Amino acid sequence: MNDIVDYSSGRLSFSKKWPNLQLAWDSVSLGLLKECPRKYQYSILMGYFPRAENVHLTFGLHYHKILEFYDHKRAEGMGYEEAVLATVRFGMEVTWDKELRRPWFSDMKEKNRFTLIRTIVWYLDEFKEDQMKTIVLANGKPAVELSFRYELGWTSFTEEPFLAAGHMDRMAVHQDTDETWVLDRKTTKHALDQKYFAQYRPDSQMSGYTVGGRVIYNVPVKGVMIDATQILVTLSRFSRQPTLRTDGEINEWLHDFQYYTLLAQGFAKQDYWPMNDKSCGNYGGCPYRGICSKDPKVRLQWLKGDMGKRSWDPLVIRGDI
Amino acid sequence: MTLPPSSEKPPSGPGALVTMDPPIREASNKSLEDLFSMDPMNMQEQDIVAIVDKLRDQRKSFLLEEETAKAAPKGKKIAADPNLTLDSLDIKF
Repeated sequence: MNDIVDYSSGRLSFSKKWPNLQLAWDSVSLGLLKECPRKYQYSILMGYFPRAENVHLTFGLHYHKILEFYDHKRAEGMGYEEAVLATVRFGMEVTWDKELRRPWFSDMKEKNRFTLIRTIVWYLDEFKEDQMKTIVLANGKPAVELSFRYELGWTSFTEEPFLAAGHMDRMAVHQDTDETWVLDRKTTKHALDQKYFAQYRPDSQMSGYTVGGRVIYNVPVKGVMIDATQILVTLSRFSRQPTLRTDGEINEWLHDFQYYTLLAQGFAKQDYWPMNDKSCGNYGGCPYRGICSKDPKVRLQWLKGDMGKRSWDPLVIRGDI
Repeated sequence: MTLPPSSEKPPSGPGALVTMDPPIREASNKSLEDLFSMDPMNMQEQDIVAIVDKLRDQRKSFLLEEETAKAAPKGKKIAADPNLTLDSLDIKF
């Protein structure tokens, strides 16, 4: 164990007793482990990420942050029109680079500053009379951008508990049915048809939200409402569809989760995360393919040279998003 | 530019505040391109109003186009005439 390089030091989600053993898992880290343990090692564990900006990620972060701002303003009692104007001003400000004195630049014609602000205005008008009423928490704050964590009920070989963690966009009650839902906002360029919504069942993130809502907020969460937006160059379309989980599906998800944490323990014990070379071509090609195609002796040098560094910790509360 | 008053219902019932009609909104006449090039710190209220109004106009046009497309009669497929011959085409060389 002495010659294991500990990449996890200081991160809350990792074991204090064994290097590189992750104990708190979110859908991102679990997804990467499932997809390719080596990809998980390079990204989550070692913190190497492509330097080039991921436009989808930046757009998604802005989109969530701006709508969260609107939710707060409405919860504070601000009227609709005033809140829309304040939200658009906020959106223009957060997408302005003060140092460079220029707007956020994206070379993607579907996802850029203009389509972002357009989508915000269209979304707010589309759901002006929103049937999904945001829950107001006991502290008076709206239930938006909620960080959650819960113990999974099993422990590691170091006798530390495993946890599930994540961030929910919004919890709301349907005004007619009184059902409680987790709302998750998604943006895509694809059509919002049945094929699009089918991708969320099975889906680890949505299963985690369903359990999270039930466990943490102690309310009978019906499921997750996918609050989807299709963004094209000249238009934005909106559609909401529920994704439900039976108790059997939830139990299966937890059971599978336990198996994956067993695997993760094995990898951490061996200090070895094997490559899954069948997933290199997925999603338009793995960003680490160029690294994995080098001789193992020189990969670290290539990682250091080609990639940027970013720390991922599911237990860090996302106050800034 | 004058917008119709907001359709939001004023608060009612005991203890509700007496509200006045929303003030008439003034929108600047800058183009969207100019507005999106501005430093937001220098933006006036009418600049933000103009962005919202112009984007709403775009949405109205889009919704109208969608409605029109939905309402348009679907073209019927015409069955081929089994008696049609090349001569029927009346092609001259």
